[in-house]
Amino acid sequence: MVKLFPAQPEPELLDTLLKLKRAGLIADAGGKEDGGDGSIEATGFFTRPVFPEPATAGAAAASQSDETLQILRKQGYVARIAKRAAEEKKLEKGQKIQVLVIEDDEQLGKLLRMFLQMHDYIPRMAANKDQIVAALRIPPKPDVVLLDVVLPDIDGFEVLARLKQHPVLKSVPVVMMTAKATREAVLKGLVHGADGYITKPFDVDIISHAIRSVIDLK
Amino acid sequence: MSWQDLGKEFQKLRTEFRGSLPAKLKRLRSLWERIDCEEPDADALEILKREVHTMAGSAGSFGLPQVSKFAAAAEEALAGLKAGSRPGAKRAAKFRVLLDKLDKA
Repeated sequence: MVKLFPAQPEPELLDTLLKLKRAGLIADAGGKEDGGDGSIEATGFFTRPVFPEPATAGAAAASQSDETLQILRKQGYVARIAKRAAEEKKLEKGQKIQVLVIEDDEQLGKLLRMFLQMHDYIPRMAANKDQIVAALRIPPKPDVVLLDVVLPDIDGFEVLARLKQHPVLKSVPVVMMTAKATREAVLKGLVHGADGYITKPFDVDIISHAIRSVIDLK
Repeated sequence: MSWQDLGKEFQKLRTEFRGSLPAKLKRLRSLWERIDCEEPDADALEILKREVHTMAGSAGSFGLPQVSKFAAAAEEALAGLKAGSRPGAKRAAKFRVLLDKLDKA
């Protein structure tokens, strides 16, 4: 889902957008001097929250610590970002996308596996360091990795860094999925090479959008 | 598996998730008691942080936004608390209120 931002976003939003632009996540649609309308277009997608943001205080304070996301939320967006792949992926007849899901919550893992199977992906699951290593040793290499940040025995950002340093696996797109919705966390993931960032809770449909976007599957 | 089956499976998972909440909340309270005491357990704080974070992330995906919201607030309430140190009265009261809210959500 591609969304255009207003032509003259407020300064804080502009700052965020510039950072996202530097991370390669959004493209400038062209200023007025270029003949464009000055709007900024996301190359991936920003989506509306699954559930309406509560108007009450209380738990909202949990996310209020991050001004940038608040500004994005005020605009009706949460951090669900996916960078489009440089090259379109073409599947051979009968070929299915291999998805490595690194998620330690057993129930959410079940939900994701079921959803991915339903969408004709081939999921393989891992919930800790040993399982990640084992899952990556199974050929073929995954086409995409969905990576939770908070894992029991290893930090998701460390997993991301190791994947991106690996000679064979560095080209595999990684979509971070986490409840860590701070600007620092999102930017940390993106700067370290994540191809997408989805903050929890998410609607499972978002997962398919993200996968298709990061591997540019038509 | 048809989309209808998927819907049924999702409902089953949601029911399973909801059914697992009382035990999870009991565990959160138990972990909290190991932190809000004379000799706070540093490991318990680490586990508690991870478990409220996980709950915040997954509950919303199972259609329980209130649980997600209060768990996220509980995670925030633990932010800055040092391992091995006892939480202050204000923080402790806030966390207990959030546990009660999670019970009712």
